[in-house]
Amino acid sequence: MSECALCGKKIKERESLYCGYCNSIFHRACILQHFYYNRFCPVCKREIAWVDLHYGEPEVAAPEPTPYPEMLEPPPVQVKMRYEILTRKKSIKERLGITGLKPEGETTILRRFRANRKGMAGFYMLVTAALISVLAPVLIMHDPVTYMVEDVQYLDHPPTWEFPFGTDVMGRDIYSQTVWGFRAALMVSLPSAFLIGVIGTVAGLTSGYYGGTIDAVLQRISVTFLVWPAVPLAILIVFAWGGVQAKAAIIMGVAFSLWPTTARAIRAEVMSLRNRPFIEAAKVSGASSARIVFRHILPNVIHLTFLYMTIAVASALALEAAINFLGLGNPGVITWGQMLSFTFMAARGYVTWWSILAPGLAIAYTVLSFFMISVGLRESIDVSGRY
Amino acid sequence: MKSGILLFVGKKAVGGIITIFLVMSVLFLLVHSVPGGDPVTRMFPFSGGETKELLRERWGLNEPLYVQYFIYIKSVFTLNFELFDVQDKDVMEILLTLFPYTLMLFGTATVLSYLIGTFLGIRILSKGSNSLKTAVTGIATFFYAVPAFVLAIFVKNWLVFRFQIFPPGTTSVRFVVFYELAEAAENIESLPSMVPEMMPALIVLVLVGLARPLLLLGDHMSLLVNEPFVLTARAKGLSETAVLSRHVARCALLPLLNDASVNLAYIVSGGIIIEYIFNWPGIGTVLFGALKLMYYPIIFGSIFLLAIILIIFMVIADILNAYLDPRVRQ
Repeated sequence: MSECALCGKKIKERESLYCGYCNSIFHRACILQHFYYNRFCPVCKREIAWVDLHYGEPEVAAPEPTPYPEMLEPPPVQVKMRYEILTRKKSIKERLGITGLKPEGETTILRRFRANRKGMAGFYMLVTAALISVLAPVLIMHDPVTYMVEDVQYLDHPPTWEFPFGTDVMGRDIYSQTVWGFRAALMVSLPSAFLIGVIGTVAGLTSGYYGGTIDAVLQRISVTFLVWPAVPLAILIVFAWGGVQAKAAIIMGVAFSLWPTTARAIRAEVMSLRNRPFIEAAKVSGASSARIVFRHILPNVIHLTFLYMTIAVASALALEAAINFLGLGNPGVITWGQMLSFTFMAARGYVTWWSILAPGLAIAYTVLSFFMISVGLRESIDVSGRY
Repeated sequence: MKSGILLFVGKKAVGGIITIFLVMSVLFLLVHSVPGGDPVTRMFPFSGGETKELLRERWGLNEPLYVQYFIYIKSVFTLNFELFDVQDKDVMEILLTLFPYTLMLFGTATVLSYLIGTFLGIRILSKGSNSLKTAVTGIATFFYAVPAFVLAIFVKNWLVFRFQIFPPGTTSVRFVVFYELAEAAENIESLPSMVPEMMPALIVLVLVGLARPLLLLGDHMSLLVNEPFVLTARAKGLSETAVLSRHVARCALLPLLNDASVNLAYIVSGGIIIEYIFNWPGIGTVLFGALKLMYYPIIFGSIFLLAIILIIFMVIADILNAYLDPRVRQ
């Protein structure tokens, strides 16, 4: 029966830890409390790790504590009351000081994303697009919807100083329309990407975690929407909701036709996570399913949600342009797809290059910016390149 | 072993039938939520009251919704999309006349894009120079990102109208009124003579479908090149080509097959709008024409056929996947 070197009280059986270097004995709680702030043995002042503390009592009795030679003034030993351990709201890993085993947080991903050239280029492209759409009223040179040239020779005219990207067959300024189109594009693609993320994540989490019948049913539904051709699905939803709410209908249509990809990826990830020890531990300690799903699994798959949302936003933009190209959008709203459609349907043959170059490149620019963000995210999430 | 594969195929087939059922149910829901009166008034606005009543009787439009649903599902699974009792050609017959054209376009595009993507992936991304690699990846990314129909407009504008390399589409099945469609379907030329007409659409579809296998393969190959088994193969004295094509590429092809079902959906749903742009006498063109007029039987029939194509492609990809990778079979 020996005494604790830290608090001086007796140590009961199976309650002791001793330093592997100087054989001094401590209460487990005391040395743990000490280790929370310090990384040295309180007696011999040597830098030790957690593995240097052994259970039980040493066979050789503790020698006289020798002061650490280099240190003139030993650091003050901080002894806390034992009950404070119980009241502190820290995780067990933090209490033990285990930092090496901590899973990669989002900060790491963000840092790597910032170092990624493609991702940052895409990000700046997107920021530029957002700026253009915000500043659109300042940037345009003519009203994109109502303005038409009066002089007949300026109908379908190649670029001049007054009309930087030329005019279309109705005599409207293509530059102003292209700038204005950024608004519609971002206003449709971002909400639909959000919806895709939410539906896909919830479906993927549910089917991946529960498995069995629920998984089979959800899988069938997701395959159904994967098989449904995206454009007709969106068209029928637009029909059902009417032309006034064309934007909302397009958002819904895009979201419904594109969520299965996200759900599939998240399901696969959840199924691989489900059998990991930390989920088992959470189950054993009595956590409810909802808590396991939202507190333990969701943080580990949320980066995938963001990745697939950026991929989906690119497809959403393309699909939105396609629907407008077929003439199903609101004609009062200028979009790139509508510009292309207008030129193409009016001419029914060879189209002048300036009338399709600007909207085509604008679509390509915005889609490419989201795509490059997704590439950058993928590379910074998973260094091994798996996705 | 053999029965295991049979069981797997059976499971997939049953799953496919259930999927078709769900697809058509969703279509029923969507079609019924479109406002504007019943289909009879919409499709035959000027016919007499007696004829309208007769048609309503025939399609069960006076019955409650669930009876309509049963009639609809029955007609789906008996492939009976006709409007009237007496018709020399029904919708399914016309769509089946157009079916080979769609199948030819999509099938050729899928096979070609996978072949070219795999070839480029193996040859260039694994051992080409760095600048070449960057260029190929960049171009593939660009074509993957740009919407298919934008590409199609550019290709049609330059290659068909401006430089006149390929002939424009000659057969117009776009604006479907039923009897016109029937005539157009009769007048379509034989498959081989349509090949030059198909080329621009094929180019666009291949460019669009090429990127995904290419990028995926490049990723996996660059991962696998540093594995020990590649070192072993090199140490055996195999040539670099043999190492890459026999050892590395075989491993890297598996995830490609896993990804195939998503990519196929991508090709088909992008493909129908390309058909429409290039006036290709396929199901997509007819579908868009019918959607503009809400011509119900053609919408039902073409969605059904498109779903069938995709499901069959997917089941084939799944079976190939299971044959090559035993882990999938469980």
